[in-house]
Amino acid sequence: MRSEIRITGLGGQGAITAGNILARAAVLYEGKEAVMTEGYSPYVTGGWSRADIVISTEPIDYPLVTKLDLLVTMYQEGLDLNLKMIKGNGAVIAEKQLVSFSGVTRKDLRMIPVPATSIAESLGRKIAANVVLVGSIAALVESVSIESLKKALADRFPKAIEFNLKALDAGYELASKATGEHMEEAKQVV
Amino acid sequence: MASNQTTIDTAYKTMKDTPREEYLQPGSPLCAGCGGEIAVRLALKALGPKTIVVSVPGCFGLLALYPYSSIENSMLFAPFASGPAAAQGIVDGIRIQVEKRAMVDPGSKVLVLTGDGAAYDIGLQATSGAIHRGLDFYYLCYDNEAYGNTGFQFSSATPTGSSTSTTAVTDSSQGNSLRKKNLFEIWKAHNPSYLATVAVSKPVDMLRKFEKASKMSGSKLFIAFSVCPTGWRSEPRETVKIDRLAVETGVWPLKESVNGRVTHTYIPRKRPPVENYLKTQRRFEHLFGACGSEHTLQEIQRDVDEYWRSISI
Amino acid sequence: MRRSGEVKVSATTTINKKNTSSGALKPGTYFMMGNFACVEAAIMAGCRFYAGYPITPSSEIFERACVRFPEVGGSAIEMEDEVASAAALIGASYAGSKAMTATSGPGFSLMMENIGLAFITEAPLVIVNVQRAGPSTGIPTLVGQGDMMQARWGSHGDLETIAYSPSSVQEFFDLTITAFNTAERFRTPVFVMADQVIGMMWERLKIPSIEGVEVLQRKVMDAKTRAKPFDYANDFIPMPIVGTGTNINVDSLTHDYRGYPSTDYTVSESMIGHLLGKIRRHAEEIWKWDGYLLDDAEELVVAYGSTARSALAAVKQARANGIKAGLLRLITPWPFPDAIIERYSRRVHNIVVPELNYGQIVHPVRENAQCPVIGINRAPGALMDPTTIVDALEVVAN
Repeated sequence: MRSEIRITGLGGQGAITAGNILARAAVLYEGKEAVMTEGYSPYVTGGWSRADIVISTEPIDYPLVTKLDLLVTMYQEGLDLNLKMIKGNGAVIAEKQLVSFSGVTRKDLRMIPVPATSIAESLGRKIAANVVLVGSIAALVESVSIESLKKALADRFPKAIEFNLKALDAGYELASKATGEHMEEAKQVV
Repeated sequence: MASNQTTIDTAYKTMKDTPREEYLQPGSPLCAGCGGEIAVRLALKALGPKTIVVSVPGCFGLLALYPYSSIENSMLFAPFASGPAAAQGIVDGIRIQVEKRAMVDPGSKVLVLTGDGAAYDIGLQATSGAIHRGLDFYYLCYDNEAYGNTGFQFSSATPTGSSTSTTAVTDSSQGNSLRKKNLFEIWKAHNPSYLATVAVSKPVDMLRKFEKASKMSGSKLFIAFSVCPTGWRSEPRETVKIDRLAVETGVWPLKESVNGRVTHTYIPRKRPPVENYLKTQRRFEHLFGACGSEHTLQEIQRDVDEYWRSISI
Repeated sequence: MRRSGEVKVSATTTINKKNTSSGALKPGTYFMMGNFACVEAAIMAGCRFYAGYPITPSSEIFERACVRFPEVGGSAIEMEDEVASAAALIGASYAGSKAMTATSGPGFSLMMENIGLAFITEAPLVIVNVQRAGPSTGIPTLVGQGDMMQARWGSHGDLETIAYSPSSVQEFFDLTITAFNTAERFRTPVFVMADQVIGMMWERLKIPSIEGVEVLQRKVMDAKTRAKPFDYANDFIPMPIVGTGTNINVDSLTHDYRGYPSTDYTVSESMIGHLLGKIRRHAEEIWKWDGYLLDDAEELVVAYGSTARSALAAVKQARANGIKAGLLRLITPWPFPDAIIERYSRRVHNIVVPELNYGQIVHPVRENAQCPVIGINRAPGALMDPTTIVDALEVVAN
């Protein structure tokens, strides 16, 4: 089983950190194989960044993503540019405040808008929006459990774990309850 | 603006005299608040349209990034160590073409534009050779006190106490322990025609320096204090304010050397403590607070005090 | 260009684990970036001197070394350029220390003269090249494999070089240790030819316990023996270390058994004969390669580095398409495993060599193969898609 996930955002949104937590959880706490590669725009600050994660039960040969099972995006262009890369019946998690699904013509995708920034803000810190999204990912990704993610999160934020766990849980709750088109099918395909 | 100079004849009496023509358009991919960009913009205005830029690896290599190429001048990209060497070729090449009557003297100026990594470290040798040969060119170093483009690693322009990605603050280290190399003195020892330090919070001073230099032939070198919000971890909107603090606290002396004679073009009357400047940037944050390094702070203040004491007449 | 903040945090996250007394990380499973793994391997191999210069995409190695090496009693300094870095390594090596640096294309070019110096003076050292897209400044942040021939021939004159090509984070770790051992054994500069993909990717890394890791040290000359410092009859000459009373001259000029320069033709012959021979005579001990489905392969893919990962996926796909493809992965492109290529070339119809360059390793493959050899060449800047290799296999198989 091989699944491919891309997490993308603009500088400072924490896409790479989110990807790192996910892949770390898969390797260290799920006993799976995972590869994470990063991508950046040429600007030192402010451009886009992305984390591409391949998770597999087998050793991974080709380390890059070609057909995404899940796209997670925190900015509009991140959706527009990566849409064609998502495989049939794939899923998209997007930051609700910054990304609109209205332009999407594909009918097969499961689209989950998550108001990650406002959730994070209400919990105390806007900057944890990416952690909220990691929680949402857990709801859709079978290969990595929320428990493993919690451990990986603790590794990454040893001094702020309480707060970050809240953000993670909030994201998880929201995505687990997501309804709408195609959500009736098994939520966990990835 | 107090100075110990007699009144000089200049086209730049106030900021209102800044040339209107822009050679650096908005929309470059440089970081928000880049102090170096302001310096280059002013320099290009002062130098005029016939300026050929020689660029080397560094932050300003990004000026060529299409469709965000905001610089209007022709640019030649040279290896990291060789900006002035490439400039030598351009200057001589044009001269040969003119002598062969294949070209009418275009009246062009050659400006080598590098960061401190090239100027202070890897390209020092090439500049040495160029000045020694009396190359008729301009050199503008945007000094952001580290290798900015590759992730803010230490350079010999990094000041004492600054953290960088290769002089990180750890249990056993308080950031960079070396002193900033004195490039002004090194270049000055080569006896160039003109040499100056400039800062963007004193734009008229900068414009006048370029104006003065343009009346001379030979090597004309400038070191521009370049606030770097990304590397220094300061607020982008405070760049000019931080620049001004550097000048007022005496950290960045504004001076020029004409055929070896040094004059300070601005002498701060009452220097506020260096701390006021250091506190604006997180690269110095470990010097403050409970576990701060009082010793390093004092050393920095002492160095600044010592400098101004040594130059007073 | 990358964000300075991200790397620092990741570096300290793993460093917080308590180290063993050797300074190495505790044995166990880690999730680590290739570039970081390289530093940890160097520490485990006993390297304590790093002289470096920033260059994308190798700077993370340097930055981590600047934190880790002082932690374990070593030092990491930033030099004014790559010429200086390479020269500093030779000094450190002759002072008895294992020494390393990391760079990329433009820096590798600057180091060439000193690589020749390390070779002629028989100074063990390790240079890691995290290859990027070239030529010249190229694309600093993207993958390339364009420095492979340069690793062999970049320095002027007659040299024999040793290079390792990792294809994973684990291999980057393992081969860095191997590189140090090889450098110590053969008293020569050794390259780890990684690339941007391997250097910047994050994968599972198993760090072994140091007891289980073979770490070689150079044979050091006993000053009292007044032995010949360059005894060309011996492949493995003990190394005279400065400051120990050996009173030696270490020369970059062609030199005789005493270390003194000579224009005598026989000295040129014997010195070069020794320098090349010490490696050539033991090439088979140095060779490392890996095979996948070689036994019944009819079409062979010969690949290295990150392209080998694309090749592996391609071979699996080709097999599913009915082509009996196999993969021979070169782990030591230099010294080139000619006999291995020759042997397998007799058993297959064709060999294809995918590279992120316009043809480099394909040449020695072709030189030694008994069957047709076809290069699959792509510009650097992106990892080769496995379908490119599958398509090529389809073509050659028919």
